[in-house]
Amino acid sequence: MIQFKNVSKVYENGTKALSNVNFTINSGEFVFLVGASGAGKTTAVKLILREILPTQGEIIVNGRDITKLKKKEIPYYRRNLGVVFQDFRLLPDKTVYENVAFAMEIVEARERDIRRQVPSVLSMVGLASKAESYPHQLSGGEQQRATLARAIVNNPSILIADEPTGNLDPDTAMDIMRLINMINHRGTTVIMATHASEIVDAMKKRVITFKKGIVVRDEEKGGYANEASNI
Amino acid sequence: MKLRTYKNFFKEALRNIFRNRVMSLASIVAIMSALFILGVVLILAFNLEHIAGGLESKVEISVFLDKDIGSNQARAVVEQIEKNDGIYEIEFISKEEGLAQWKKELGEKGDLLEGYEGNNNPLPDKLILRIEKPEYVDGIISILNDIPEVDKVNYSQEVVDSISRIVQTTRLVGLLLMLMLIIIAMIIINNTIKINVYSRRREIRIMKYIGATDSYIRWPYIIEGFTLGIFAAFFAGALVIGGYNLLLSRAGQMAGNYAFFNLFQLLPTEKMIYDISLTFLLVGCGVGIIASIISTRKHLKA
Repeated sequence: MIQFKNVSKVYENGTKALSNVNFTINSGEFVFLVGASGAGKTTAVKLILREILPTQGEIIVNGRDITKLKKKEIPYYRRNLGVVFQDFRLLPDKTVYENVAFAMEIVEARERDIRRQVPSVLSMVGLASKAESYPHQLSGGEQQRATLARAIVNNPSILIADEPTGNLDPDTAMDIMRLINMINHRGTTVIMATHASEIVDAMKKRVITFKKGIVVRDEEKGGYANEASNI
Repeated sequence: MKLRTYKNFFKEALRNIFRNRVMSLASIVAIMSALFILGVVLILAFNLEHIAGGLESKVEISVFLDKDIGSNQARAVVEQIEKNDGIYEIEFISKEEGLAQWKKELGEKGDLLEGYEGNNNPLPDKLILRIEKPEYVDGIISILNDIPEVDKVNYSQEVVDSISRIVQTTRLVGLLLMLMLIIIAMIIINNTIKINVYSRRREIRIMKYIGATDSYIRWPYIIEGFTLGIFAAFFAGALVIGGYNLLLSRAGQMAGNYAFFNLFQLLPTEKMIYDISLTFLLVGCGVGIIASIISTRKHLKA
């Protein structure tokens, strides 16, 4: 469960990114965070990742206020989260297999488990044949599949995707969405920030709409609202 | 952390070195150059020290014993003086030897001294003390003055002082040069590693996103910095010592031809090999490790 309680964020340069934001995301939910650029959705993602701290308010993730995490606890907290970005962020010097295995190595998983789990996740995202390829040898869609494989290999309870389809053509984007949806069906909470209205409209999931740092709409089975696009 | 994890760190570090081989090579060359210049200065400083030490041991004190003591008594005095620190050689010139020497110096006018042999010898027994360092002179003089059989003590305060001054200045210059170069080498090595880490700052961020702890991210970089340092120290050491050996053999040839070169004996390589290797390893690897820690910390904060 993720809970934002009266969260405000003012950046050091004075930009008010979020003002008094409240929402609760239950375990297993699939939620879109939508809004124009600068509306606050990326700030919300960064807050959940504990990349930044809010100026005010509490952020409860799986029962813990993550604003009170010690610096040393942050890596361990992040292991509960799978993360996917628009620009993929694979390690360029490692093969697809190594990139995914790396996520298990950092949690010091057993060698045997790594050898079993990585191929299984790669085949789940449809990349079994590309295990030995390097990121630069892959298409955008394949890179994003590899990122998804890395994000879920440790079975995180939450998957956070920041514009995961931003660099992909519409067909590939829908493939990725199908994958994310499948991951959600396995019980993983999915939070996806996007401004791809066709995707949001097609998926019929909960939509939280940001506008100038305020949550203006929060709808079950919502669509990409006008408030989000008309700014 | 598990043992296997450390094995992974080594594997990772070595792969990084190989994969970024252009960067690694550039780092090794940069660190090597810094160490090479440091090595040249070290050799210079060691040789200055060697020359200074040679000058120091040029300090001599002449001791004249009472004329009327016998050779047994004289020997007892020598033994007494020998016990003191700071004297590395005592030359005993008996009155007979002294007279013979004098005669020799006079050459054909030597017969002027005819008739002074035996009991008529006007010369006293003489000791020449060679002192390790000028600092010992004052103490030894006061001890000598307390020995009743000692008639007169001769030494040149001026010579002692000026040798002392030259030696001190030389040492200071050598030390300053060494410190300066060590600092410069550290700066160069630090910058090299910093660039190395900076070029991979994206990787560090990615690792942070997927939950790697700071030390997990840092270890391969530390091993990498250490390894680059070792390679650079090895090559720089080979270059410096090989170069110096060449210089020594050239200097040997020159010394054969020109007497001037005999004045300052260069220090043999064996005497420096240990110090230079140790300095290179310490500076190369030490700075490699420290620089890795510092420069990763900067990117880990983000």
